[in-house]
Amino acid sequence: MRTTDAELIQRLINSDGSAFRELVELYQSLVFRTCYNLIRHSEDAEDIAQDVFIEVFESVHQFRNESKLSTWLYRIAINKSLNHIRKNKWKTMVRSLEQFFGGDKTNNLDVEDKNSHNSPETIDYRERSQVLQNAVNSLPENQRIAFTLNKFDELSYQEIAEVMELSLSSVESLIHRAKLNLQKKLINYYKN
Amino acid sequence: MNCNQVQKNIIGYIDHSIPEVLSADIEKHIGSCQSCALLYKNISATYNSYGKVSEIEVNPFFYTRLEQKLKNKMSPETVVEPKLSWRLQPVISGVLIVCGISLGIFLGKNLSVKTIAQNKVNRTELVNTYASEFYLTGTSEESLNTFYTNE
Repeated sequence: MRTTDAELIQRLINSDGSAFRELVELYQSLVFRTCYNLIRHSEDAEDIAQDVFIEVFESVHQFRNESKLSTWLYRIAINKSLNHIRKNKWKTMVRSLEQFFGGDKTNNLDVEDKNSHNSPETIDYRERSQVLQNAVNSLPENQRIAFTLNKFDELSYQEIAEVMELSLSSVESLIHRAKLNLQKKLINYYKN
Repeated sequence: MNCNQVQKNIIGYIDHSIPEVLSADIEKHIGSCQSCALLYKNISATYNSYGKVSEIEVNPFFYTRLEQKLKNKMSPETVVEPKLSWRLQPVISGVLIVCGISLGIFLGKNLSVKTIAQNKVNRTELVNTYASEFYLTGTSEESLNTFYTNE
């Protein structure tokens, strides 16, 4: 039978050795993918995901069972990913250029078939993916978070509202504006 | 439906978030307008170009690495050392730059003093040489006087 989140937290607070491993195994995928969707770099996303679990380990005493454990994890993962983006603006810019010219192997192509790296379809996919990533990165922070959580993490508006601590209507508005901004940027890109 | 209206609703059309009636109008327009069809093809391919998150695999050694990172963080020696060296790095670089500049100034000054002194010696020698050539030094003056007196 699966341990509930509250039990897991209690065991962590009581320094139960196996509880931390259980927590990581249950949520590593959620945390890693959230970081990855914002950063789009596997190694950095893994580093940040590890930092998320370290923070959970260190501050588990502060967790009040008012929200779901996954919501808390999403919040930490988003904050850490955004801090990473802010600190590494130049690095990200250089990496984007590398990805665009096909030099970085740890880009978003790692979700594709590795054998098709040099096919015209892959190059086309790489370019399009980079165009979208640049457009998403240029969105205001709140719009970017809401849009990413909705489109790539496949969270419902309600879940996003809980993670971002906003009202449902604010989330709807953020995602709507994000889509309009993306539409504008993509039309400008393809018309010029 | 015109091209502008299509452009205003193209993302909604792609992710099916607009009313069906509007969607049908856009579809009809795209079927008859080449430029809108091309724009739709490009934007649709780009908008859906991010890999699906469910396909991304987490590293199988994730927990092992995390455990190691946590151990490193908990042991005080490994935490203090990199932070200290990281903090000292700009200070060391600063000191090296200051030393380099000071050495440059010191060498520059010494060299220029030596060069000036050397130049002075050279000039004096040159003047003396010319002077002796044209009988302007004491010795040569004497020989000049002697030359005239004798004459």
